Amino acid sequence: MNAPPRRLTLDDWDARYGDLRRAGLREPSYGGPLRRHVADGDHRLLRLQFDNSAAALRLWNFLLTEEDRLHAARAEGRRIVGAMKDLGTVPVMAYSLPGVVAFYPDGAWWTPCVMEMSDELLAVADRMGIDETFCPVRAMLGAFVTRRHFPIPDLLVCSAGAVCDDFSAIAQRLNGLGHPILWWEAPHRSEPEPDEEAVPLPGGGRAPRAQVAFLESELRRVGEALGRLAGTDLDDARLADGIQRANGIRRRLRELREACFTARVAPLPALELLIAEMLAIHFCSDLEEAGAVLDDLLDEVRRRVAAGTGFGGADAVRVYWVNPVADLRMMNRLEAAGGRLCGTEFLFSHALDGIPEDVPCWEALARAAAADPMAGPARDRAARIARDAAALGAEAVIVSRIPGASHCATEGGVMADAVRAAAGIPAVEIEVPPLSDAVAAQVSTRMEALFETARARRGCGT
Amino acid sequence: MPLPSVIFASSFVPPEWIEAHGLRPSRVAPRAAGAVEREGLCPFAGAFAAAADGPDVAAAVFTTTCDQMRRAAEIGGDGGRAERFVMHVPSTWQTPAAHRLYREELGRLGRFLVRLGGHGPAPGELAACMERREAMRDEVLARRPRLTSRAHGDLAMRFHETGVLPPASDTVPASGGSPLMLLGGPMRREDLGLFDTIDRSGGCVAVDGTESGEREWPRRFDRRRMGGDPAGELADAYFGHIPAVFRRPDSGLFDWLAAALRATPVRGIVVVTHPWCDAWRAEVPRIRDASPVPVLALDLAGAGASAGEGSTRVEAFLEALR
Repeated sequence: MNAPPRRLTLDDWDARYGDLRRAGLREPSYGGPLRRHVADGDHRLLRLQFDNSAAALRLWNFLLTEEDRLHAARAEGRRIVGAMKDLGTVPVMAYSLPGVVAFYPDGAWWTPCVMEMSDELLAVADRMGIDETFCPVRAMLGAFVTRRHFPIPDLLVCSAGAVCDDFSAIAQRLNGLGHPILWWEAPHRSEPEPDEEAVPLPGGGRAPRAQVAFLESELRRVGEALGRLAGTDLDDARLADGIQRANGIRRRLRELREACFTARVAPLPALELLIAEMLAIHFCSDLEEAGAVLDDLLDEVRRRVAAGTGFGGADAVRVYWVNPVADLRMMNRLEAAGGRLCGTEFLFSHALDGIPEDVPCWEALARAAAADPMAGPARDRAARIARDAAALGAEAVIVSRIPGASHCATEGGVMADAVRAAAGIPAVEIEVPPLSDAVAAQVSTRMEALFETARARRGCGT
Repeated sequence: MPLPSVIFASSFVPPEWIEAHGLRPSRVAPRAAGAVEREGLCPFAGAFAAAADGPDVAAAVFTTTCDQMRRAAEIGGDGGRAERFVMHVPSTWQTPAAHRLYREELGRLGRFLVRLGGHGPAPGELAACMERREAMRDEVLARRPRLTSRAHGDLAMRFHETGVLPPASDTVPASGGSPLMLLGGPMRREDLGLFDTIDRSGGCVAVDGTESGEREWPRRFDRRRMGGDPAGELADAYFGHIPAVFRRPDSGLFDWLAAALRATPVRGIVVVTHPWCDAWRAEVPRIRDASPVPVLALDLAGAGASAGEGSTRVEAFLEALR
């Protein structure tokens, strides 16, 4: 069952799946061959290369059956929360309550890629005036209009304030279409004034205590709404327990990341690592199962690290990747160009950092929300990236630019400059559309040039 | 010696507050020429970022009323010449906590102004500034019927930038064409050419609902509340009442639109948006749905060929309205 690590096409996976079954593979209820998802419209799978482990199979099946899970939850009478924008905070509260499931409709931004535009979500958004000048998250609007994907949530909760304009504008359109939204304020994280009391944040930053107190009051307001939805209060005991369980997922992910980033040879492909990290934000609609999926992955990674096996060889250029990619295939391309991941910051580092368990639970969650990299200045985000990139031995930094995103016009340059200045690491910005095939040659050439530069620096001792 | 100038572009930064702290407020209409240009960057934000490094600027106040402007504060980074202050203007408005947060942000801005060389408002100073500014806003509106659209646009811009008004004898005869409402984002100096186009094409701006216009002025101050708590009254007049597009929800904008159309009948609406302005571009279809009169959506692309194309579209729009 534990074959040496290898990249597989979907065709390869058909044979591998048969082998695994014959070898006694036991799968959860959502298991099965990856091929069946193509029949559901997930055509991008035909062009991806996958890890060959049973753990990766489980990860992919878990990811690609999320909509089924949400529809099943609705059928079972559970209440569904659509958390929007904050990436990692509201689901912690929602999963603290019995009978509540939360997910991010924002996740629809990958649908045009996974379905290779066949579902026309972007075309629907276009027809509503939300054109390609907006970030690919506009697919979410199409998903709400067509109702062909996730069930319409019982409660929509969206952060506003220090957020990207694309999402805020699209969520407002959604509101205008008759979907009520509970808005909560995420203030811009400001530098504490001289003599102002500040509190430490997960991940190393700090914020004025008054801002954290404000956030706490906003989260309590959201908590009250969630409690009404669940028919029971979100009290301190429940939230503290929910934080502990969320921290369990975050702890596993930190361990997985550390093992992958520090191993001599990458024990897990970049693509599967990206998918695994995504479990942090809303646990793919099942917190307990997300933990089991990650446990399997961790076991596989530990085995490979112990055996010194993996992908790409020890001379692959160590790349720190910034921002999520709209096209999953970019992760394959990174490795094809001679790189490997040694660090990532997919815009939700605050969903990976542990939520403090030594302060009152509401304040702890507020501190976690305040640490959102989107809420603060780009220079804060850049400083952490530069620090982590240096600590992880990154040889190159790629800032993946999200087409149309309001934050990408300025922050990419700020971050690339900071990384070059602070860590002396070469950095480039690369724009990745939902389907990057048309620009694949150009993107690969840029990555190869970056990696050449990085390799040349090895000899110079820089 | 002239007071140091504190520039800003958002209507949620009360000039009265800066003035009462002993500094010179200037709400600028930045120039397109010389703006910072980057792929995906809002031209207005790029223009304001460049203005922030202007020669007479002591500090620039950026607000969170849009993500592009919030992030434009970091253009130039620490190498920026003038001090930069990012003021969080809450997007939510339906809770007392949001109002308190705005008031606290005014307090934080005030402490920044003091560190910049200003002083805390002396007793009565803030109220006096509020009375003076309000009287000038009234005067700006009162002069509209006697001015061409362009002349009135210039007058309003000059008032916002300098806090003074030229004598009324500067007036230029009004054009008296088809009345239009302008709606949309903020105007750069060069964008005022749109007013010329409207005048030339047989129209006139009867309501300026852009972010530079009277839609984003505070409500009239309550003299009684001003006496007891001028800062509270100031905060409520601005934050509590300006119907801005970034508000969540933004129902106030549409309430304002309905009320403004009832109060001032217009023949059409011209919605102006900057490239990459998500907030306004997303609302254009809703504005069309809500409007009883024809709507023209116009990209404020700046000078050059696209400006010519914009003029042609405005001319055609006005011709169709006749």
